[in-house]
Amino acid sequence: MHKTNVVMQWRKTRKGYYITGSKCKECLELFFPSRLNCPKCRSNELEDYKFNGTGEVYSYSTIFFPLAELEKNVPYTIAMIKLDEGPKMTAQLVEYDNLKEGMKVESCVRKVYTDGEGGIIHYGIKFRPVK
Amino acid sequence: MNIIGVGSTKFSEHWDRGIKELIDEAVKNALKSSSLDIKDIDSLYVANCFGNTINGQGNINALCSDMFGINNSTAINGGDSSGSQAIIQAANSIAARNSKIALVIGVEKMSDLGVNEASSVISQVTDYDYEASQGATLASLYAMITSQHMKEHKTTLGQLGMVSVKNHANAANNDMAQFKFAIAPEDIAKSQMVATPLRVLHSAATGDGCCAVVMANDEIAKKHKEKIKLIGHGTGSDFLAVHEREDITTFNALKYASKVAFEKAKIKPHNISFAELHDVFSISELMSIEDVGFVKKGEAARFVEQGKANIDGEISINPSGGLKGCGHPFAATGVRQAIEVFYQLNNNAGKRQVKNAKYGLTSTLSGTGSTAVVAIFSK
Repeated sequence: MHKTNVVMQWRKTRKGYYITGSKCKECLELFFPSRLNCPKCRSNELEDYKFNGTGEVYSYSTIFFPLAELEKNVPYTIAMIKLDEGPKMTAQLVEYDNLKEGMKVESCVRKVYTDGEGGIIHYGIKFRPVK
Repeated sequence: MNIIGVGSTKFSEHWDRGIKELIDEAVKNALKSSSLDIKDIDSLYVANCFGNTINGQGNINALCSDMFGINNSTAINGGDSSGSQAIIQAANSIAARNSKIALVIGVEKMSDLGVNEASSVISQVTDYDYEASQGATLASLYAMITSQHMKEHKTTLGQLGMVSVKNHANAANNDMAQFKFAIAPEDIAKSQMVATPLRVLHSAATGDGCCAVVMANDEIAKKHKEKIKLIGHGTGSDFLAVHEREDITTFNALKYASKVAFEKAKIKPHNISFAELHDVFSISELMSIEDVGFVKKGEAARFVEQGKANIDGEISINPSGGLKGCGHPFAATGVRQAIEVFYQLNNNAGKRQVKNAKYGLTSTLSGTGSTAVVAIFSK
């Protein structure tokens, strides 16, 4: 994976931690991640839209051949989550006992990977089952 | 626009050779095949994805210009389909009369990395911020596509395995293939799990390789006995991240690219004798069979299972062995597909020859299908 420096990480933090996407002011379509232009109606009038962070598992896969940065986490599970508001997003699943498509999940902030000892700790959104 | 000569290295882990040595071998083979001299070439189109990251060498077109003393060169870096994009660029340049004889090179040198390091580098072809940074590998994204295809279209793991069995059987007759051996259906479930439900034998491996083709206008091609003619091509694109697509079991980029290519070629999918498709994972061959338009959505698995994609089938799919059998050194793959079409349409494919081959199609996908390039050739 491309190595992220402090500035890149800082820039990503706001949208990365709060599941902030976009809403098109013209056609009202919601997007995650956020967009500068609407691919549906081609408008460039979009505003930030904060998603609730709840949804259901659309599809998932447990990874045994990982990215080098996540070697210590193997096996870990990646999923596509269908957010309650409509758009899908890709994130890891944690704290689950059984995996099932359609499972209700909620977002939580977790460590994703670390740039070695003394490097940046990259946090991000993961999802866990709704209890 | 025509291809009048082809050459390649074997696809392999070339521990003893660097990127320059691979390029040199493929180019010399291509020139020999075209009976031309390097002095006859007026432009270079060089496809390469990971030179910057893995080999520390960017500016790859200048490297080739330097090697061969050719002033006019362009680099193409657009994911897995870079090789096909380079062929289209060269064809456009010839059509615009900016070039008479162009040399297209696709090269990748990936074996200097370990498996997990390679997974990290390959993840560049997905959405960095919202897929790779979350921990998704390319395999895991295709794994989720696979699960959805199995759910929506009743595709089974056994049928996915048949894609690999067929492609390995074809690769067993291809000297340049990295994995030149046949496998049995029962080998697949015994292979290591990559990302559920996909195993090693559902997945194409990366490696080292270089392919080159010489392209020329009709006037020059007239003098050459062995040639193929590019009669139609199309490029399509889709959302970079899989999760943004409404139907993740369809390659919209490929549907669009195919439609454009067939319109230009003025033929229909059923006219195609054989196709080189992007089987980076077994599911992507099945979806490509559907989205190029050879069968309806959801029917590709049965098509393969019934042997209709075999060398002697209705439409032979990946007679070369595909990415699974040949290996997948990213930017070399699209050029390798064109080389297979050259052999097949010139009746030079030996034991894997498709009988009465008239039209051949190539299709490459970048990443999870965010870019698709389709090319149709005739004799």
